Amino acid sequence: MSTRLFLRLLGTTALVVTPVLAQFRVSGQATAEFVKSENGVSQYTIDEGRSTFAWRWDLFADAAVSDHVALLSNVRMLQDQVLHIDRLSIRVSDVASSGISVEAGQVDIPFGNLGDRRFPQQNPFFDLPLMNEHITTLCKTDYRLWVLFPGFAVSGNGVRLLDQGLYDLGIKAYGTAGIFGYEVALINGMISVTGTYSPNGMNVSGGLGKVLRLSVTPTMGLTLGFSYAFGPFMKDQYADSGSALFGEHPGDYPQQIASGDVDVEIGHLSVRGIGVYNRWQYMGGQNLDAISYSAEAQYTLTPRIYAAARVGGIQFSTINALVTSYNFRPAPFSGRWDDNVTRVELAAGYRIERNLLFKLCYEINNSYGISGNPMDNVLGIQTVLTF
Amino acid sequence: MVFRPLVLPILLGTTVDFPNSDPLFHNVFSLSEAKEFDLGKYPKGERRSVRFDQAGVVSVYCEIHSYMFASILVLQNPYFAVPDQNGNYEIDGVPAGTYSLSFWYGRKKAESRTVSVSANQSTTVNFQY
Repeated sequence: MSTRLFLRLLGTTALVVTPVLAQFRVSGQATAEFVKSENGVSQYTIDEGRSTFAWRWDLFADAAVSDHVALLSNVRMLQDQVLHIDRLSIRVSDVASSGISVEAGQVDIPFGNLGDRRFPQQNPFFDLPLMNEHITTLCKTDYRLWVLFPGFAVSGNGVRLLDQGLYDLGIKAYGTAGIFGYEVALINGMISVTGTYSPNGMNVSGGLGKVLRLSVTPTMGLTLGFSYAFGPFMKDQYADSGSALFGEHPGDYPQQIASGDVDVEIGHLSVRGIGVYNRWQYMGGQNLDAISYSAEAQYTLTPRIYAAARVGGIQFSTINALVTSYNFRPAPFSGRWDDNVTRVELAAGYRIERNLLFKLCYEINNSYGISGNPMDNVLGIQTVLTF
Repeated sequence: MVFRPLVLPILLGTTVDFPNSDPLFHNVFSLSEAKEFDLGKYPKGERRSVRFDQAGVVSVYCEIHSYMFASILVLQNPYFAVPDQNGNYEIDGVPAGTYSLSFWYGRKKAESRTVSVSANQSTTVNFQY
């Protein structure tokens, strides 16, 4: 046996018998909720306006196998859904002492400033911002735009502007340089249509989504951010015969979306704002544009009590295009392709214990357009337990 | 990031400073019966102060960093001490009598013993941890 071979064998043996120790940490949040909405014809109406109880469970399981390598995971479950893995990623921090960290798997998408407010404990309200919740009339699967169906416009069966918590399969790299921060990502889906709910979790688009986020913190307590994403948002298959896009390949159509955001922290006051400009390219060059905004403030009145308010809205562009009509055939349409919407949210929270938060929230929803303004305000009462 | 010290014994009526030495925000708060306070978010180089006027154990946390935790023991008498680096401690001037001597290790009370103190004599009590 040569010396070289002996050393290799020794190395292999050492590799096998050396145990890999990981620092494993499990934490989570659980909510018990009471919800009562008005019973208008609206996508915001919950359980046909009946009073209902609900729950949600978020489990975070992280494993650090070394100073630089860790597994990060979030599991979410609601009372009416199966268990869903939002995040499952391997993170390598400070790669080759470059200051750059890389995360791959199912990652949180670096777009906007939602951050940990996607979780009930950190979210002073009952829901996410309107731009993360509102469902537009643009369908991702059958390439139809149902503006001629007023009922559809209020019930919502299309894509969101921002897809709720914003997770997707992909890879991202991020780091800081002084007061600046940067994040870049490649993902299966896009900001409006993430791949996290796709069949088998695989990419169904004609390409990958590209995401860039830059931020600057000129002084502690003030962060300004800019995000941009570009990529296909429709399924990579030919449109069916009932679509205005019949014979075309919608998977090639891109979404372009940009946002600017600001976070301000001063003592007991937190203020956050974001503005989003979005363009879905559609129907042979016809663009579907949407502008959205959200601004919120939270103030800690006493060690146990906070008050918060948020204003959000989405405005949709006017189009002149062929859209699917009542008989499922393309028909000319001129007008706004979806109803403009606004939401005002008022919330108060009481910290029963350090890890037990009680929230009372009220949402005032307004729609402006062909569908009128349905009665769809929502009362949400939520108790959040963290562990 | 941690609170230093993890356990701080003080005399009733003492004001405690909470300086932020880290290059990010902290938000120190407590919901303890002996003292409720929330200092809000403040940056490195700044400090907030709290006066403790009720005896008891005050559990202190950071709103932003959930793993940060410390205990402040607000005591009614001056008969307490913090061991030195070798683990030695000394409490002077304790009047003769029988007392409960509590030993805190880390952030929690580890052990209590009943101790009799005689006039003009030293009493030795050793804790092992």
